[in-house]
Amino acid sequence: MSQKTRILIVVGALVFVAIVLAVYGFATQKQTTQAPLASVATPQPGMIHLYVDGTFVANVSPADMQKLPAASFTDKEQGKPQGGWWLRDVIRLYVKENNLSPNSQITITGSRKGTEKKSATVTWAQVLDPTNNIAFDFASDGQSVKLASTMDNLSTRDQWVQGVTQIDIQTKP
Amino acid sequence: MTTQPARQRYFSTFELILLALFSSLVVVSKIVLHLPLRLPGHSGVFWMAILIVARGLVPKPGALSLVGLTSGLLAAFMGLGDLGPIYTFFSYLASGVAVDLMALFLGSMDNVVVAGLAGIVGNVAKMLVKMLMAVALQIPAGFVAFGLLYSFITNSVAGLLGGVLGWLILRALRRAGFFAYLAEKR
Repeated sequence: MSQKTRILIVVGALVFVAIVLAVYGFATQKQTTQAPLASVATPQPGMIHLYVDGTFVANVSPADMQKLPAASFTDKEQGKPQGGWWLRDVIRLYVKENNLSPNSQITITGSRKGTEKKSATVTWAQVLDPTNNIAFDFASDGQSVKLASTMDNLSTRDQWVQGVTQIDIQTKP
Repeated sequence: MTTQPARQRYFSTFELILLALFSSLVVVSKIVLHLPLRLPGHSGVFWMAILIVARGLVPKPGALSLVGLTSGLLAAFMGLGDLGPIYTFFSYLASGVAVDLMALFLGSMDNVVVAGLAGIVGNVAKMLVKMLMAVALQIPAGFVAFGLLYSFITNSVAGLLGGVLGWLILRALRRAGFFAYLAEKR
């Protein structure tokens, strides 16, 4: 087999992988956008679940988040640019702000190393404080979402919440 | 009494030192070299360039798998990556093994097309392993699916650039007589 043939085989394999990913992404996106009522009623697997006072409220939709203004800040630990969406904007998408008080507690839970769950709790006042830069950000691979910030006790990668799966809001702690 | 000839090692000590240096260079580049881009897989520009140069200097099958293994262990112990050491280790290993297999299948990195393709496959392999692990770790698949094609394209472009950059470095080293120097050292 000539080198040219082998190059064509590799190119063909890459195109095939791209098509599979495109079809899978399109199908999942379509499924997400076509079932808004179901997504509100029940937690959908593979999405971020939002609970208010223990009651399921919404599946956080990536399509909705894309419409939000972009967040951008530089992290304290490594000085790398971080960006995505402000947590306050994501919460406002699904919860009326007059239901929240400055002391309302917001717990973000994520999955790390498979079985190990990790969470961080912040108050609504801390979320609103622009100096804290509390934001959802795509992980460096662009395939999962992490909670990042510059707030004390939530400013390092070890303290951030990777692979976010759930948001719990306690309106009256 | 018969004497058996000493079994020759697959990698010479000099080659192993070179591969160890490239492994640490992969990790150091990940820590130190930052492109101000918010594109998934953009670090592949440096990463793949280093792997291609390593394959050019130690043109033996398995060399890059060793670099992937060593750099993966180093990165995991240094706490790099967002999702823990196992995730980090396998993504580094995947890149090394993929570029190794490409070099084995396509031949020498002297050809810019081969170097570019090896870079693409190496960076995409890293992305696919991360994707599979994200599914296994039950990280929200809605986001995984949403960014898949976008991630694939950006990873491919970064891998291609890294491959071509690696090829340019190899060409410069060859012109500078570095390969003749290496031949003496071996």
